[in-house]
Amino acid sequence: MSISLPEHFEEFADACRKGFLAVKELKESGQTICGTFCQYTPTEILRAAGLYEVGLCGKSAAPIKTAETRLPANLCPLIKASYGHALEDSCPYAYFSDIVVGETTCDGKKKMYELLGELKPMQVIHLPNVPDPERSMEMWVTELREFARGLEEKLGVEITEEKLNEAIEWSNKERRQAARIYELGRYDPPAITGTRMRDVMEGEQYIFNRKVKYEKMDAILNQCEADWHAGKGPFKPDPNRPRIIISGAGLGGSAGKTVKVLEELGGAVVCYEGCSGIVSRRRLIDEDRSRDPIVRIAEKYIEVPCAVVSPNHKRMDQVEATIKEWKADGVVSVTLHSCNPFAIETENIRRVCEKCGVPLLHIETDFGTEDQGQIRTRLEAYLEMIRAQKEAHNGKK
Amino acid sequence: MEKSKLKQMIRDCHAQNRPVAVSFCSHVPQEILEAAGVCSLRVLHTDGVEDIAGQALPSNLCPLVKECYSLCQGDALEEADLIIAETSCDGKKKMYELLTRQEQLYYYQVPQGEDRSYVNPLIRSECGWLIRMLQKRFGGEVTEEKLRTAAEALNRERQSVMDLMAIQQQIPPAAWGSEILEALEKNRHHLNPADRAKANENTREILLSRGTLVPKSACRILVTGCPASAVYRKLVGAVEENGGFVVCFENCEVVKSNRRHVDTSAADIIGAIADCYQDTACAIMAPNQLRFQILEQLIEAYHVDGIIDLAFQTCHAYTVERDKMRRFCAEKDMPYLAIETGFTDADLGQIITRVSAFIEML
Repeated sequence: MSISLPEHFEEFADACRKGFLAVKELKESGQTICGTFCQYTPTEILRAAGLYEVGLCGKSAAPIKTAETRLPANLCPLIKASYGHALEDSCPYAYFSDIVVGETTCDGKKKMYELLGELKPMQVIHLPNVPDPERSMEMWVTELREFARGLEEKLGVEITEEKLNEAIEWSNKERRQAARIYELGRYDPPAITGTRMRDVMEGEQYIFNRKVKYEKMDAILNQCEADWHAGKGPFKPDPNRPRIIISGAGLGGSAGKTVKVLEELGGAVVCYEGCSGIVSRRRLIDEDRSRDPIVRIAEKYIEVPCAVVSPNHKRMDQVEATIKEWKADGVVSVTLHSCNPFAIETENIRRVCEKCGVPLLHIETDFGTEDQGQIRTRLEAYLEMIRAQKEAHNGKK
Repeated sequence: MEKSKLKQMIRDCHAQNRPVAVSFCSHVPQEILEAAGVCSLRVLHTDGVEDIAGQALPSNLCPLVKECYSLCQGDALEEADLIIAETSCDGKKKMYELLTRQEQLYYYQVPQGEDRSYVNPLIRSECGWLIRMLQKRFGGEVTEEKLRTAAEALNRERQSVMDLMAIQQQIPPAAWGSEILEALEKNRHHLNPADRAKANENTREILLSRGTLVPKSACRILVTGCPASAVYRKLVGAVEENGGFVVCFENCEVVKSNRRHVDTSAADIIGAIADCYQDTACAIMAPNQLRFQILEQLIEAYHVDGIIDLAFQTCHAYTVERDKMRRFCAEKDMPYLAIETGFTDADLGQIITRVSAFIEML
């Protein structure tokens, strides 16, 4: 008997909740666990060092109060929650992490890591501020080499070229697969809901057997496509349904009041742009084994179009391309309270949207529930406006 | 400084056929700009600038970043030839990207920390890019000799600021903190480092020969944290009208940037400039041990009774570093007060209450 699609999805959605048991088992079997925070983390190096990665980005409002005994209140909830979990030992993933890897992605995080480093063994990767390879590649390659050397010393392992090459090729394979999840959103109507996309992409971080995970993802992808072709997709055909791209960072703790509500209100989230969105999945690492693997890894990660680099022309180009390829009708930028890089850059995203003729809605939020009603009202008005425009446009035809 | 004065200074430079480069941060290597024949103006808080930040920036943002936006986007700097967009803090670097006159900007890369082997080569390399851009943009050649001359002039200016600050080490101090900050502000009206240095040296002579006006009993407060120029009236006023005085400003405008020095006798002058700028105790650096080392020296040299740590809203670099600062002060048995504020006077009453309670406790 084959497993149905909803069961597949539930498995991924549950992975977050059940993941800590899996981590515990890994730990008991003698594996080394590495906590990570960010798209910038060169996963290939961690894998080549034999580490199992778990995401430590806080998504809950609960530990924030504890965090505020040490951190300022007017700070991003993700930073506060992540630190708060470590401070009160309330996150099993942080608890089980033998080592934590952070990046100097934003001022808040990089300064928080100085404090987190007092609680956990940490290695912080310094990122280039200017993403121009001519100016920054040399330091970036040096940084990654020093990072790899640091891991070797701390963990007493050897990171060989062979292991790096294997990790690069596996990670590329996974990226191609992950891109397909987002590409299901290109169908009209979309072959997957935005909520399910998120469940899968969040859940996959907590399934540690990579072969098994790959096969499960494949089953989902194939089933979604088959269902769509059989007319059994999650959305009924509706030429006026607003197709929305979610942009921004740190969605983990706020997806419930944004993505989910947006789809309840009749919109479809067709793709994600920004942190853990489509772009990072599509950019692969060069697999030419005759070249230095660390240099090839550096080449990929210097292209991460994170709002933290300046000037960030790449992200603007990518937003434009994504709007066109996914035939999006609107972009919703979700940013976390006091996240300076993404909040400020939203203005530049707005200018790109204007150029493409699609409206942008900026939602600044946190992990609490106080703004739930307000966000729903704003999303409702936004979707209504897009729907009316589409109706007028389609009616004319 | 008044906006009209700033505009006048830019015009005065142009009258001397010198291009003007404006910068907002101590990480920008002024020696390079001066050596390229450019007048390097480090712009601090400016009065009379229309606040247009709301057009593009989020409201919950550092007031200094907002003011920089209004300065660059409005007419205050429209005649400046170049604005150095340094990638120091998130707020500023992302704000620069929203400016519509992008051709006026040059992005200068600041490293993330001081503890990496490549930081010095990176600053050197950034200096190289800056030199090539300046030569292309303004003609003229940046020679080693010009760099040395510029570094000598700027060394003298930096030393003059440090010497002026140092008159506060006496007990009682030679002046009110507000007098020193006001003098520095006024002396910044000169276009050249040499003239600014001379003016600072004069101020020092005058204040020293005048005899002190500060009572011996006044509490000796050191101010650290964000650049204070925009809020010094309300902060320093609150200290100096309530039984204290500012004995030392560790902030960017005073000690943080001026304690640095370029070794002009070094064979490799660009390397010496890189050494100087790497030596910046800025909270943007992670880790930032240097700030604590400097404070330790200052506490002793200035006989400090208490520390006020100033931060602006959403300046995460300084507000998150506050936890370390608090512990540092506790370890040193040094009374500590953290103040988070903005450019308006809305919180003036609250600041006066907190500062006077703090000083009373001392």
